[in-house]
Amino acid sequence: MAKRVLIVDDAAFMRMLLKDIITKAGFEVVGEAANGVEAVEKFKELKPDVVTMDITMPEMNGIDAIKKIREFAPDAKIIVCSAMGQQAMVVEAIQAGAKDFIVKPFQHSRVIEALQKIG
Amino acid sequence: MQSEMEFEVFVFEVGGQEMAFDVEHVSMVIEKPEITPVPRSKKTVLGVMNLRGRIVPVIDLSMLLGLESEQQDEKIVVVNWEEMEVSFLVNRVKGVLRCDMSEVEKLHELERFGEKSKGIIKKGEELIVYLNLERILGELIAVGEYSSEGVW
Amino acid sequence: MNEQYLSVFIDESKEYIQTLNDSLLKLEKDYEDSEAINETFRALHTLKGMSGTMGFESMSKLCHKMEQLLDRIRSKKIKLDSTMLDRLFAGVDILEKMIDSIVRKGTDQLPEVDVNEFAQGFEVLSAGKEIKENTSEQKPTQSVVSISESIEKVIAEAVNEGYNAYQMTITLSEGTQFKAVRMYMVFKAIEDHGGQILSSNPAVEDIEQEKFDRDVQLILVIKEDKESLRNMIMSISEIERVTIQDIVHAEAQKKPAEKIEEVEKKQEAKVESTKERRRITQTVRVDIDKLDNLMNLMGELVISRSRIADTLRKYSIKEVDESLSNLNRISLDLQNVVMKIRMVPIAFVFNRFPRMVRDLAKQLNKEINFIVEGEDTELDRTFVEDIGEPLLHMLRNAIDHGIESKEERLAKGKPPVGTVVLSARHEGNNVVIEVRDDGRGIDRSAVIKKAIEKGLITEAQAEALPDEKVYEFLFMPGFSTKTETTELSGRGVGLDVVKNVVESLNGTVSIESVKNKGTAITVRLPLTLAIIQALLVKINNFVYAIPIANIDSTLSITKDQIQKIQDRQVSVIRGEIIPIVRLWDILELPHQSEDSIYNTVIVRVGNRKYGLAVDTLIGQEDIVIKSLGKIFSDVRIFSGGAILGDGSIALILDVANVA
Repeated sequence: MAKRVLIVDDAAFMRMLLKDIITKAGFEVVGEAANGVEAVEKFKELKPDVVTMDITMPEMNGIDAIKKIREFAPDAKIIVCSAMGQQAMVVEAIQAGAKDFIVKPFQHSRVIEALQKIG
Repeated sequence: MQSEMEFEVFVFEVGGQEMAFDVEHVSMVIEKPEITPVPRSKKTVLGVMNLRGRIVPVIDLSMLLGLESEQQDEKIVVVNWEEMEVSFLVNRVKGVLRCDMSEVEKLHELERFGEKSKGIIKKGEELIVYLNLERILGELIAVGEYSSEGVW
Repeated sequence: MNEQYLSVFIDESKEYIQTLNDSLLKLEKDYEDSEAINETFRALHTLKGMSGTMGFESMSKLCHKMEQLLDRIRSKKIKLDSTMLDRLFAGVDILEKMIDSIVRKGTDQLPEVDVNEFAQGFEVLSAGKEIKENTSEQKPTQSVVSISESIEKVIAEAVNEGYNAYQMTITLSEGTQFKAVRMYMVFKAIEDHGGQILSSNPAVEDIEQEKFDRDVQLILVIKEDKESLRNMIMSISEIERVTIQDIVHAEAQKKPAEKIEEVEKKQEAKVESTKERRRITQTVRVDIDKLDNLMNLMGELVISRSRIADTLRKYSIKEVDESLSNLNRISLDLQNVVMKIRMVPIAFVFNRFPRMVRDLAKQLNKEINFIVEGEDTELDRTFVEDIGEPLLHMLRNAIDHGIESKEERLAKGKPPVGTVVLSARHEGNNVVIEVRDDGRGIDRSAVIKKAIEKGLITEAQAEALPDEKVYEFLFMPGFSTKTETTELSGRGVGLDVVKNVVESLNGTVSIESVKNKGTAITVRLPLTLAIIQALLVKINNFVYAIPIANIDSTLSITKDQIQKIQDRQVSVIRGEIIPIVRLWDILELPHQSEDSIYNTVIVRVGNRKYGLAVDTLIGQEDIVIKSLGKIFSDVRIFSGGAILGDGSIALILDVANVA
């Protein structure tokens, strides 16, 4: 069974790019969300195996979304997507329960490694 | 003895005038392919073409030489000079011609081509402009390095 | 003599000579650096054996004498001093000459040097100045992570409570981003499993500031056995290798590890770093032409792949889709491997400079703190051969003309020791190399004076000329500002050579300078033959490519979201004022379609952002960058071209120069 992935990012372009990489690597993208609030709702609805979570987003940011999701799904597997220079935010996200991180601009091999490693 | 004076040129027609390059620099002749224009490049550059996976510039030879262009029977002559691969749009291709240095004349009335020409090859009635490929390519590259206006 | 052996011998000897130079430089900073003493000794010992085997007696003999001296220093019989160090440096120079002579003439005999006599000199040094026994009591050679007594105590207690004590070396993958965060994940994993980290090398503060290359050594106690500890660490991304060693008691530290177990990730192609060069002996020499050929074939493969994919996409057959995505992945991996094979760390070029800087500084009686940064930066190996010479010129200029004499510096209130920084880094699709000094800077008025003398400008023009235009004169052949040229920097040769070489490599050079603060010369080289990801966009039916690395985001904005501020079109996007540029205006193309909505690509250049309005966004694709050639060197808005799946050409926008 291919892992089912939920992509969260406010930029449609980044979602398109990630979807492309993820699908090409043989995973299934089951849904997309454009902010933290949507991410929490979609997570409840779709119960994905893995979530890729952008940090900086309107409405609710990625870190708060991770915390919210982990309240009702403590085993949620979340990979946080960060931009250059956001080291501190990534550490915060990992403390909040993210399992791995990837850095923009994305390298295909890194995204795939992260998806495979997350178990 | 004789062979030292002899050489071969590749003859083609541009703007109603017969022209020639040294044959050893001509690598092939092809039909005019789709040409991708390169915005903001020199006026004499038509653009680039895909030549077996390589990107090769296409030069409008008639414009470069200041001739009237007649848009018919267009062919592309691909030349190699040192590491460079460049191509020229011409009207018709004539073929290879064996000449002798004694047939080349430096004619001053052909000053319009300046140093772009090495002289005129006279073959009976025919007059062929013997082009200086090195000079032509040199000018194509040099523009922009030293502009003639002002200090810089 | 067997040719094959000879070439291996020569290559390896050169590496050892480099090691010798490096370790001697370390010793110059710290005469007691036992690690460097050992390294020097080992290199000499190996060289002695190698040259002896090959029948190069003089070379072997010289190595032997040098080794003897090192042995006495190592065993603390004598103390290293500056005389010995100078002699050792000179010895290394002779060894280098010998190898050079072997390459050219097949013999290690140097007509100009009496090697015998020179070698005897070492004997004199070795014999003299015995150190009295009682001063030789030094602490034993330190291993990578020192185990202090207090740590030993903690280990002993923990072991009693059923913990295991390990020394663990973690190597991060090449190119790991956010190394500090990665290591934080390692620390967190260990602590989450009830483990405790007792010591780390480098120290935690240095790890947090990413002051390490790829290796981190830890001493830790944890209940997990080795196997599950390893699995735990390896489940974290971007860890290339984990080595775990038992700590039975601290004594075991001093012996070389025998029971090292090593796991390596298979999927990652191993690219050796300079530091590991010697440890990994399984290498194959490949003719560079073959690599070029491989690269070209790779490009063709990528193009054919997208062509097949395009054709098949129309039919959407499920079975084909699967194999197609496989093919996609494989060719992507293959691309990366091929690219990496051609890339070498810039350390190959930088290595020889510390020694050169030292000699030059000594000769000029200047003190220079020479800092090298970013040695691991990789660049295409075709550059390696060509870029050394220009960098040498730049460094010489910095030391000879840039850095002032000690007295002058003190008079200016500057530290007497001058600083010269040589750095390399990747920036987008460029490799940026910089030589920076804190010297006197370029004297603008002197340059202008010379330019006027040479009739290049008039006095009136000079006033208004911006600094960068003034500095451009320095790149002209024969233009030198120092009145009397010193022997070191040559006569008039210099920056014009730098400019020529760099431009022949499709790169650029620029100068920044502040009087009395210093000068920085920056060289930018392209990453040749790179395969990059690009967003394809369309204008008037022609396709252009924008490198993904430059893209911040894409969005559509309506015409009324664009405002005019002082002749500039801008739009407020997420609270940021961003200039909007219509690409068709930049490309000077006629444009009819007057849609009220612009498809806009927000691009990033350094700290600057701007939006590019285009007709259509097509999608993302891997493209092979090809140079447009010298004829287009004046067209700065394109960095190259790429051939697309359908055989058409997309020009690649150089967003730094578009707006």
